[in-house]
Amino acid sequence: MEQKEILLQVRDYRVAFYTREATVYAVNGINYDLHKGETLGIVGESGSGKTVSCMSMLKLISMPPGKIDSGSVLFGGVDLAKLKRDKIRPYRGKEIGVIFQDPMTAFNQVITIGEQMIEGHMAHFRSSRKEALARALSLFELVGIPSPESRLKDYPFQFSGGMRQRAMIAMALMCDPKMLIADEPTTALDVTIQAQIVDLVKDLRKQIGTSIIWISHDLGVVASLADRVMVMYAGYIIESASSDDLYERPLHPYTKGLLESLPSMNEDASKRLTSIGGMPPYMNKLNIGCPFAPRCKHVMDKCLKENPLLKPISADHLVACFLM
Amino acid sequence: MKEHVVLHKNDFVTGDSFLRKALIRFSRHRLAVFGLIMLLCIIAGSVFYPMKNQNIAFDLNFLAISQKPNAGHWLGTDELGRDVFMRLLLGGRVSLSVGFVSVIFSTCIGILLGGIAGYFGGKTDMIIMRFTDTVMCFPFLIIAMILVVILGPSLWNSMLAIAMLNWTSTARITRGEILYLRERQFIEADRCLGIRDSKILFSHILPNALSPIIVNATFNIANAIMTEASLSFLGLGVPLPTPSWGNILQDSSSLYKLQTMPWIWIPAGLMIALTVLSINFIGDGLRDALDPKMNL
Amino acid sequence: MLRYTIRRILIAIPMLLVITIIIFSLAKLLPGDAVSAIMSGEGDINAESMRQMRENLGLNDTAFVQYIKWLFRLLTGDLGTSHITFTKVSEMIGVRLGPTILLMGTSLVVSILIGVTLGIISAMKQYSILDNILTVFAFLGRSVPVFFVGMFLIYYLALINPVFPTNGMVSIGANGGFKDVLWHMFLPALSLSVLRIAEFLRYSRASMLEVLNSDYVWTARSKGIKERNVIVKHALRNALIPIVTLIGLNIPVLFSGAMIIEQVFQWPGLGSAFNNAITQRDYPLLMGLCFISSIIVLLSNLVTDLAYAFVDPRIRYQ
Repeated sequence: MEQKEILLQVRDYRVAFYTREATVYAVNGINYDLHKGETLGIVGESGSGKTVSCMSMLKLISMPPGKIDSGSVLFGGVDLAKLKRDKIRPYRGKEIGVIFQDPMTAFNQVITIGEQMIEGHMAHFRSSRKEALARALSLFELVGIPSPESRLKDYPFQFSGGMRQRAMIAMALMCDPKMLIADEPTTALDVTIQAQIVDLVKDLRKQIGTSIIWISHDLGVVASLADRVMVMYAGYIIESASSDDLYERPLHPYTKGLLESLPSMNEDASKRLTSIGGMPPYMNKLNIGCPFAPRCKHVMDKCLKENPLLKPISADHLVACFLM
Repeated sequence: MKEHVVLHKNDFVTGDSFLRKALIRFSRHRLAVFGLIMLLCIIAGSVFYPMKNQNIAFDLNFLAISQKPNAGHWLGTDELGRDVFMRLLLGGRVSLSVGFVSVIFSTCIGILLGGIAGYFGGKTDMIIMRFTDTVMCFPFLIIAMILVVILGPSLWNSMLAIAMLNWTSTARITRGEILYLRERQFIEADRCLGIRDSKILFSHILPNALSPIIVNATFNIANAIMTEASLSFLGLGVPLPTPSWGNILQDSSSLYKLQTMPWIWIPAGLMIALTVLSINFIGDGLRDALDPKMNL
Repeated sequence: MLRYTIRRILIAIPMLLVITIIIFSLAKLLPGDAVSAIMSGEGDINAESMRQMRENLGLNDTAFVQYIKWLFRLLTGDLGTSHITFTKVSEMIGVRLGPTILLMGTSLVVSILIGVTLGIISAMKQYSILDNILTVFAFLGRSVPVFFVGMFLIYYLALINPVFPTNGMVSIGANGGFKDVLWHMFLPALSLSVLRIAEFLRYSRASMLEVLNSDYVWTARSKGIKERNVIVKHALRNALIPIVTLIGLNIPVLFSGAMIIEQVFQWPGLGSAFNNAITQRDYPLLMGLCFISSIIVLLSNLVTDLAYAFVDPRIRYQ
């Protein structure tokens, strides 16, 4: 992939939750760029900070207790991290669209899908209902919802799971955003439907060319979709590479563990899948050493005393591990 | 948002027992602790203080009629010269005993009916729950009034009348918990092992359903005390001269006494409010402590 | 929606039947029958004339026959005749029904409006000083007995500071103009509302807090619509749905409260009639009152269910 214009530039980004009982450091100084038209996969276990790191850019987390502690999120020359709460609104939906994990709970069950589709468009473009509905109709056709006209008048609970997620994707595209954040959009769906949604997104990407951040804990799904993959652990990016590179040459022990835990079509079926022992840490204190050290097979003294920085191994492959 | 919910679980990874954790959570609930202390004071006051010298609450004393609060009579005297403070504490005995005893009865009825409905399901369930709905549909107080008229006003009959109506929420909760627990795997396992229905119900399901039942029972005590006071106020509670908070208020409801002797009835009203408030606080604390998944 | 409505009505019918059975059994259990109540005023009671009277009143039939007869009379709107005043129970109730419904209705509307508004504000400003004050008020509100509130209001706002009248519905000699009734209703309606306000506050606060944390509110925000629209269109609307059920649950409680508060303020409604019926052992009146109050509650539950379906399409499209 040739180098394109940078759309989103994240630098030293830190997010923490401050509650009376504890402070939880969810995102601990991450850096990355997202290029125009690129699909970036963010992979990690639940609690690794992958969702918070993205949602907090649009201030779509509870604040308080959540707070952006430092860093910048440059989007089209504007630092979203420094924007006041009421100034972020023009970016939500219009510049950056969001697809949520569970379309069942992410739609308001007592308002028709059509109504929920058009409200963002009407707010951003001051369009009439008719114009917005026409846009919604064309998007329903685009994402492949049969008899779109009548379905716009239906309520979310009248849709099947797959159709609901298609509608959710269509809703995120209403204002033709430059970038999409997809927060585990296939996790709540059946496997067969998952594949359909992935195919749909690939298709849409070809047609529209938006940049996508695809958050997932499923390396398999990300592999088929993303140009580049970042692996997050305990609020840190521990490895970042092009998706082919990462799968062929994983460097971080955690990434290796994740890949070994995936079932593979080509391998001997009798081979046991391996799992990573232990639990991810509770991030209620900042690590001194490597966050993965307690679970790492290759742990060294150094790992417990010092947190490895993300460093380039090749032009496009970065890893945070002292073994490299 | 999702991440941070998950992270809160570190409260639960310590190895403390359920009861110990519940106790810690309860003691952190400031209002509940306040309520518990308050309630213990009220119980102690009404049980122990009137042990001696009780007759100043009953004996006519024409030398001390309608006195305002003073050093000899902390809350003054009524128009017959009886000590208001002593009557107030004795009234507490009525309210508290009706509250606690009737809830013991009503909880038993509720667990029994709800348990049967939930465990056996089908037609049994439908009939019992329809009946429960119907009872809930009646204005509670009115039926209690009629029951007391049938049974005759007395302490025991107040308890009985209230217990006969106050079981509906317990029945619903018990049934709901059982329907939920019934599908859980450890109950399935019991069934596969061929354990008797009644044994599964009493030794495995009920202990698990106990938390919400206890919380509900606490709120029911508050409810029962309120109903007893209302019945007494309507002249259908404990008959005079035995004092109860409700009949003290009833006795002062004439405009003349209302205006000229507020020291008789205001404390009685405040005592009802304080007792019910304390119990509601305790119930709130218990709910947070025993059953963190319930809200409201 | 039509099927749902019909189903609701069909469910209400057996409930109504059970209610009539319960009322009838209660009436049978009441100590002393009509004849002894009528005769208690007479000097010498003749056993033969008592037997004759029982025969005439149908009291010698089996309980089942009596019940069926009573039920059929109910169907024709005949609630029987009072043994005390010898007027038709339906007429006695008819006169009393209006003031009770006026009082209950006013309190209900006032408490929903104030309670829900305060609850929503409290939830929006969670943990603020206002929220804490309102939470304490909500606790207090459900702990204070309604008659004590009534007595205190009479003491403070009618006797010490004579702003409002102590009792009645209209001034003596006046013909009951709107303002006069409103002036008389202020204190009883206020006493009745205070507790309900607390209840509605508590529930709507909890409901709103839950909704504010739900995924679809974040979805709405992610679309970039104004925060005010997020709250009004997405959060508020969903938060109010369970409140509709709460209204239904509160009606029996409100009715009981009205019965007491009518005594305190001598409000000429069903509550005072109830008290008379009990003290004078006027059983036909008592049964009639019981029946009517159950009907009121049953009807309001039905309306609540239908309103629920109206606001929640998930029910409507079942």
